[in-house]
Amino acid sequence: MNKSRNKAFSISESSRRSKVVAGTLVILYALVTMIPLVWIFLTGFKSPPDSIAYPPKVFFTPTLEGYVNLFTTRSRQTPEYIKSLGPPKTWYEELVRKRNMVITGPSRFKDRYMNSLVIGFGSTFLAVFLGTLAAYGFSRFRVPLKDDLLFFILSTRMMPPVAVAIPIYLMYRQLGLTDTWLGMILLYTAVNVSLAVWLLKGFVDEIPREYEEAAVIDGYSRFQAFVKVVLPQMRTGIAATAIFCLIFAWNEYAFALLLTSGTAQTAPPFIPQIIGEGGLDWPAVAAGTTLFLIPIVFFTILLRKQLLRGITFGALRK
Amino acid sequence: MSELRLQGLRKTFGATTAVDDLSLTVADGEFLVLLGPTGAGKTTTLRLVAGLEQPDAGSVFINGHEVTSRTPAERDVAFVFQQYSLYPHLTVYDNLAFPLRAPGRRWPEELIRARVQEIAAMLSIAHKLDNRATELSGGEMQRVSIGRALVRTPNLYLMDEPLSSLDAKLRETMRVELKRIQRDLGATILYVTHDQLEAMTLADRIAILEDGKLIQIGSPREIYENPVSIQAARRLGSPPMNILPPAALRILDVPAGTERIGVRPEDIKLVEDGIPASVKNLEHLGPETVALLALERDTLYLSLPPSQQIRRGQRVNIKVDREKVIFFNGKGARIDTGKTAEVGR
Repeated sequence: MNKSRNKAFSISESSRRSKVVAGTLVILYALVTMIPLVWIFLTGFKSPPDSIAYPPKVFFTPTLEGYVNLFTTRSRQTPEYIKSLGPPKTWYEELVRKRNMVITGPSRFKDRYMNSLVIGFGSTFLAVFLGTLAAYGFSRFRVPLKDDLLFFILSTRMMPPVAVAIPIYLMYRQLGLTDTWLGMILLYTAVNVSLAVWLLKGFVDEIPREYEEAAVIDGYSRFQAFVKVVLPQMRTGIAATAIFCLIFAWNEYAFALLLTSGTAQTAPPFIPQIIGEGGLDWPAVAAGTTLFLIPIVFFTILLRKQLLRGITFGALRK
Repeated sequence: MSELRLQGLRKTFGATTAVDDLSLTVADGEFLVLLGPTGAGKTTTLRLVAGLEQPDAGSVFINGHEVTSRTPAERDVAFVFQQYSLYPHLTVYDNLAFPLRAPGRRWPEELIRARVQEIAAMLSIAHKLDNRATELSGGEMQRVSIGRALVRTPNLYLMDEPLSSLDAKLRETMRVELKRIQRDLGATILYVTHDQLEAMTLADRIAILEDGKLIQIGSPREIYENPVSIQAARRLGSPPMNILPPAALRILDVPAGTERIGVRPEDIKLVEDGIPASVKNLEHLGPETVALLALERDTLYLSLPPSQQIRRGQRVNIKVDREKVIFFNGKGARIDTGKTAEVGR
């Protein structure tokens, strides 16, 4: 086809000019949304003075100080004392000593990050697992009061979750669930499972029953048919649902702040509390944020195909 | 040896009775076609046999054993669905191997490979084995889904309009193919269709269903020549049998109780002097010409050899041989006149 000469109107092929305009707009929008991320990424490699310099510095000498501060606790010492310690044994000790400090031990960031991983992925797995089974049930079986139940499940999302923070706090204190992995996983699962049921039910509804019937006749049990025939076809839906659930659980701040303090604290309430010399240690905060973003970015990139198809589910899938 | 017997099967969905007191037997190696209009209960019958639905009353026997409460897997039947039957996430090979890998069967992989290749060759889809099921054309998909039924040797093959989604040409080829395969394997098949041509060409016997009830069962010829009712008479034959009041064809000497008579389009002759009619419409089908004639009050179909010249709007005279006429009473049931055409199985 001769593209430049082809002036015929086409529904499937937009004109060159509108493609350029659309492309430019998308790139502009992407740039605007990327700026805060780039800013955080850069700040993580600035020295504390550079990070609060005004006007802000775009060009600076990168340093790993922020990352070192993020992972360590330090104390200020006199130059005499530091000299008496002998030459620094590692590159990060050297970095810290420039500011008249010595490393006194590891910070709790690693533990908080671990908590985030366990609680985020744990609750995502549980919500998607329960959601898949419930969605299959709602889609395939004659459930009494099905519509009312589905509405009830959805209704838990009609208020912001924080609205029930106080009752949940009291309940958790009674049950001994505050500041535990189990408590946080249960909480995030409870919030996410309604979303998971609704999203996944849409996907199960689109899979014709004939597949399961064929499998049952081919000699499989109903459960085996579900595992061998329905689940593989739900992959897209499960991936999309998992991302939505993970994003919520990973980023959740209010409940984490309220219900965790020590052992089960996740990264979101921890990162803003990183205190350095003279108040907040911005490079360390930025370093923590950067590291915090990695799993979710990785997970999203991994599942991006499914996510795209998942978001447009129903209307124009396939 | 595999025989299917249905006894007093009944299935209702809410207020509608899909299958109503249905009893029939499919003999070993027989090709039985369930024929009927949409909503006659054909598919429901098939699903009851497969165990995908539970009957409200009645029993299903396979090889003399009652299987009414058994699971589909335990009944060991194969089902070819009208559509959607290939697992879209699997290759053609895995689709065909799927039944053989089932828990109850679990063939060794080398046997599966041999069997799948054999079936694929038979259905000429061997070159597509590595393709995803979704990458096939309609005809190929349908062949794979028939192949998935054929890979194992079940008690019974159930087929729900397996050819309906194919184009006319392919349907014809597949019809011949299916009949050949059935003869070669000696398979027992219960086949659902609403296409009378398919029924006539494939069936050893046809069972005509209407509103969930069995109206007549017999060989295609039996039903064609000796239908028990107007419903059965109109189900076979294209164009269908003409159903008219006797006076319209000037047949006055009728058995007691006759309200309407039936005449096949090929049993009406054009004559010099007879019942006047005018030609309303003509369909030239090649081997025959179908004419729609208007009588005084009624219309009827007439099929003619193509050599017979006839024009639209032409006035003609027709004659009907009384010997070929079938008489029906007020309820649409056939009146037995003592003479039934000679028919053989």
